[in-house]
Amino acid sequence: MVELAAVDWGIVAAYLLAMVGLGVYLARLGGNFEEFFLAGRVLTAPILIATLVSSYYGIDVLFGSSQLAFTDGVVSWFAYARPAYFFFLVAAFLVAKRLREEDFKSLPDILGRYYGAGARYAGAAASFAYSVPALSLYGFGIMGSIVLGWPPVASMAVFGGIALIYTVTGGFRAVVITDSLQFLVMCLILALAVPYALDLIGGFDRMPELLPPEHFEQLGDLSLGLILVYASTNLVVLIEPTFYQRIFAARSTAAIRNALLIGILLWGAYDWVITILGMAARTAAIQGAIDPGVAADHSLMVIMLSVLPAGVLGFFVAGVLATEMSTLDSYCLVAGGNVAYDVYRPAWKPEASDAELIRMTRIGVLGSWIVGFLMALSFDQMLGLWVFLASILISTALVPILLGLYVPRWRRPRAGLLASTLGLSSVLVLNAALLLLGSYSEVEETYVLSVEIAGGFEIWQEHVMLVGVPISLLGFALGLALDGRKA
Amino acid sequence: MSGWEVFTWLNVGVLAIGSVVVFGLFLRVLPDLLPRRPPESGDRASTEAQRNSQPGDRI
Repeated sequence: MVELAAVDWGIVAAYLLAMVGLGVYLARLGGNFEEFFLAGRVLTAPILIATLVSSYYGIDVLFGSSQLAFTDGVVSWFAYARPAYFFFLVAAFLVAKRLREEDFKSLPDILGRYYGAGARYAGAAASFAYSVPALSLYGFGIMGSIVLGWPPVASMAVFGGIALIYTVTGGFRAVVITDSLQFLVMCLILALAVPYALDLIGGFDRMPELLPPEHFEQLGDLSLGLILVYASTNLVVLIEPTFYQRIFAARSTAAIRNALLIGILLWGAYDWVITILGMAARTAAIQGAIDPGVAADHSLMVIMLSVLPAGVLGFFVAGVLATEMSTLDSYCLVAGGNVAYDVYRPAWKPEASDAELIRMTRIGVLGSWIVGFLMALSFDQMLGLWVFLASILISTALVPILLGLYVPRWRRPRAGLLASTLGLSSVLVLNAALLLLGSYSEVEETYVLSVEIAGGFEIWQEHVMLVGVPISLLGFALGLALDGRKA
Repeated sequence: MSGWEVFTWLNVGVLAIGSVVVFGLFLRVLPDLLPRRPPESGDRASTEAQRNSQPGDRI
């Protein structure tokens, strides 16, 4: 725990009050469902850049990437972060334009229009599960306990609760406006932290002198297979529900394409700065400038708390809160939209008014927050939970959405239904097998199932989506064949 | 100064300047994001203008 100066507390309090104030102010403006959920589809490039960058990067990136940099060096950027930029490029040039050719409102909406109600509900379940803010709330718990000395549950309730308030009251307009302020705070504070961290270790040159040489090898000691496995998790970029929401909310295709291109530049810079800060923390630990036994995943926080002066430290705490709030609010709103627009309206009340849809979205936002809160209290392996939820989304939605977008004649109900349900089921079954028959490996930091067939091999949790996607593809082909025979 | 260090300061610059520029542009377009207030009662000119406006009038 760190003693924050009064000025730091003032900065944090001002930031939190600004978030609540914005939410309350924007709630008074009112509007229909499209304004509440897509901000009236008027987002231009600057707003899109800020909301895309801040939403997609949360505390998991802040602590996860710095942890990898601390233990393995620049491989954190080259092998883990960089592949995502390729998928952002694909999204910018290939996916965004097609998505904007029809009047979609959500990811399950695409499945519903192409393949019918069954695929819509499977997509809504996958999107809701992926959007549950368990990781964000868990991050608030860690941050509160390290920085403020609060019990994790109290930090989760207070900071997560503030993000919940402005999301429920102000909707997507509040989310993107707060995202823009949060984007500035989270980027500026990281850029500001670099000179302080390098000053602590005695300059950049201390890193190559003191760190193992592998820390400056671009691919470290990772095998090609492992790199491909990690890169494949970035497939989620192509069907990210919060990306899709922003693509639908953009004023034009050019706006979203430009936002993604500039976003790649900022994501890349952000990732590299985190990598360097993680490596600087390792150097500082070797020098004894910070606790030599510091946990890798806490290293970024510890070095920042050691070097930042009063005043700047308050901005850092606000920046960490901003990083997480901007992620939590976006995903909660997507989950709320899934409940209202993708399940409640088609299943129970097709004639629901805008006021009813907004009310149901708010209930869905609250529901997803509560589920995320309970998950954050129940699960120890948050990264494993994220891999599981990402596997669900990728295996359920990737195949039917991309094939439906690009091959209109394949938009057959059974193809979409079988692709989404078989993909979803396979992930659930394989993860159940991993949990029941496998074990958590502290070395690999993932769930591993050893199979004693054909000389023996291991299945990692990260491999599940590599099985789920082909099964979804098989389901799609089977559905096409069945519909073709019927026709 | 090594290539790694140059790359680092380049990224620090992109992050700092880029975020400030993007935020500045965001402030400029912020009014577009906020819905226009409904006209005050009695503001007949404003109401009439809205009634007569066509969708293509807004750019």
